[in-house]
Amino acid sequence: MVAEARDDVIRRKTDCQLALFLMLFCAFAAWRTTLIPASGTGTRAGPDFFPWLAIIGIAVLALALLLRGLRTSPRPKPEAGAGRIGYGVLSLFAVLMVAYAATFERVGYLPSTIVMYVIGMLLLKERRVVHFLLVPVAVVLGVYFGFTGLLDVYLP
Amino acid sequence: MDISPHVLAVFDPEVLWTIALGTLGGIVIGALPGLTATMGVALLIPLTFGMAPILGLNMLIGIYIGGIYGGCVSAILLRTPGTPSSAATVLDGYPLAQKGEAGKALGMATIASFVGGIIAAVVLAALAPQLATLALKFGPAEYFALAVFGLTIIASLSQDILKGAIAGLAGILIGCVGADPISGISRYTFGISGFASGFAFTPALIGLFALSEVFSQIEKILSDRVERMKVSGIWPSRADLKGSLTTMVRGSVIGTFIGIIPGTGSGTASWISYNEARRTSKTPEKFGTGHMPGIAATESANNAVCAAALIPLLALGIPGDVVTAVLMGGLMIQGLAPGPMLFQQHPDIVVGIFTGTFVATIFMLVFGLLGIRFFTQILRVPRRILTLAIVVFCFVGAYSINLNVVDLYTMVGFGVLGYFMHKFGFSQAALCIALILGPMAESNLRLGLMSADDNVGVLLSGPITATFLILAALSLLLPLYRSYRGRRVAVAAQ
Repeated sequence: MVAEARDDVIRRKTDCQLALFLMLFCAFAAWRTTLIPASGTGTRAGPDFFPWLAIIGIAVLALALLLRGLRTSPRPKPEAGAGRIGYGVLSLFAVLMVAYAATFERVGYLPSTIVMYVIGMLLLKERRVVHFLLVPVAVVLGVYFGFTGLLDVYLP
Repeated sequence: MDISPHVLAVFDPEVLWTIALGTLGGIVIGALPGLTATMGVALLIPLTFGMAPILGLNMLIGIYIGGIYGGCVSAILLRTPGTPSSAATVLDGYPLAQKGEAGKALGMATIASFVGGIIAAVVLAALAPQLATLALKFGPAEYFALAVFGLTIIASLSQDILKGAIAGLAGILIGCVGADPISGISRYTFGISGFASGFAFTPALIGLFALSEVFSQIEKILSDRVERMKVSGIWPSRADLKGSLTTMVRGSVIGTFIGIIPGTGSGTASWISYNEARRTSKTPEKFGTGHMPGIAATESANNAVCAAALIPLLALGIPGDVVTAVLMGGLMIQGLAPGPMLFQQHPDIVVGIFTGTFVATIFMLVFGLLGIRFFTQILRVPRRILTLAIVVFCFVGAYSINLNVVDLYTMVGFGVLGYFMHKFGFSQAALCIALILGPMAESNLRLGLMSADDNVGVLLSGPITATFLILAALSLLLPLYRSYRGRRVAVAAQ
């Protein structure tokens, strides 16, 4: 019961932070929406009609989320995350994904994918050489021949 | 007219073999993330050029049916919808796989797909011209009302309605990125030409469900919380089947109805069917936790769309969805013009297609059930290797749709977004539904307002529109009423 109550409080506090983030996002989106030129489409519902509908809706609901979060008190500090190292690796993994996307076409499927796979295995703490070197090569080549040879799908 | 020779023509070994090959190929294509039934049909159309019409067209229909079914395999096993139409299957399929019941989930999906396919094929054979005429009554107002009805699914799908609604509205806003569907004005593209036509849907979906799951899996691997998924049984129990029968039939009817409305597609059908199954269930809280009727609802509906989408194509010459639009090309390269005259001028082809749809659905059942043991072997692969292999499939799948590197960034972006949404309790499904239905609602509302001189009352007064809007209001209010009643009961019990 105590753990449940603590989780609930943590969730509520996170809700407040999320609500503030959403409001900032709405402000940004609203600014971008003012840049959409009005056009004569023959109806009052122009190209910015649905965006405004969504933005106002999100802002109102974010306010509701904030109020819901504020109603819970007091707020004990959440425990230091057991996954701090995990978040670091996750961030690195996200960077790896962006780098993989950037090199996929420029460098080509085979080299970029093999490098991504090996780095990925190392980030996942795989230290057996057979696993982090040979498995990637086998999987990447298998996918390559499956897609290009059997399914006739172009890969760079 | 004696149609038996045209029916028997499909049972020629060469035709049967071709349909079997098409269906098997379709299942493989559908199971690979990013490779859709549309792509499978488009890739193989040139092959059918030299074939007899009955051979070529039935092979394409086999790929279509197999492709839509195949999407459930990766949706259940890897939380990666193979095709957009199987996105809703993820909700209950993957939790079942996590419980070690992947085989049973696949079995249920196969049987539901078969039931949906057969029911729609019966409707196709019996009522094609009549139903196609009904579909023609759909104008912008009706499409808008249908989209609104679909969007109300969000209320019943979200455990936290507030966050579900925020996710849905965010989906609508994200759906606005790109050229405005009416005026062509660019919105939120930041000058990037790759976003001119909006975010590519399938890469976005792969990111939202599959790549976000990769991030979650990495988190589990790093904290040693990863459980090796067990695989047991391939047959849903008699009780599972009995409990899902009504849902399957309802899903088939919904899929058939949605399928005959041009431009809606199997993704919409499966979400609406899922919502109806949940809304009418005595245990709605079990949906999303690995509940068999959840799979039965989505898979029966999306496979019913296959045969149903052929109805407007064959009877009116209007494709029911993207795949049938490509199939139309297949008909045309055979020198056949789909439409009412096709029934009079080429009854052999029409009856051959009807019969081929039945046969392909039966092959789908056979290959699906035989393949379950093979499919589930995927779960025995060590988690690290599998997680990174999914990344490779995500990238290859997302890239191969348009051969556009912008789609890869889209996928990564949606992957990160999906991970945080999952982490903070926002429904990814709500965002996905809004991505599908938001643009449909927007363009049809504005088209409708243009034709009704901005008079909302005139726009929304048609009988079909009013029916959908009433259903939407009920769909929205019932979960709220249930939640209110639940709270009252809890208070009374205290």
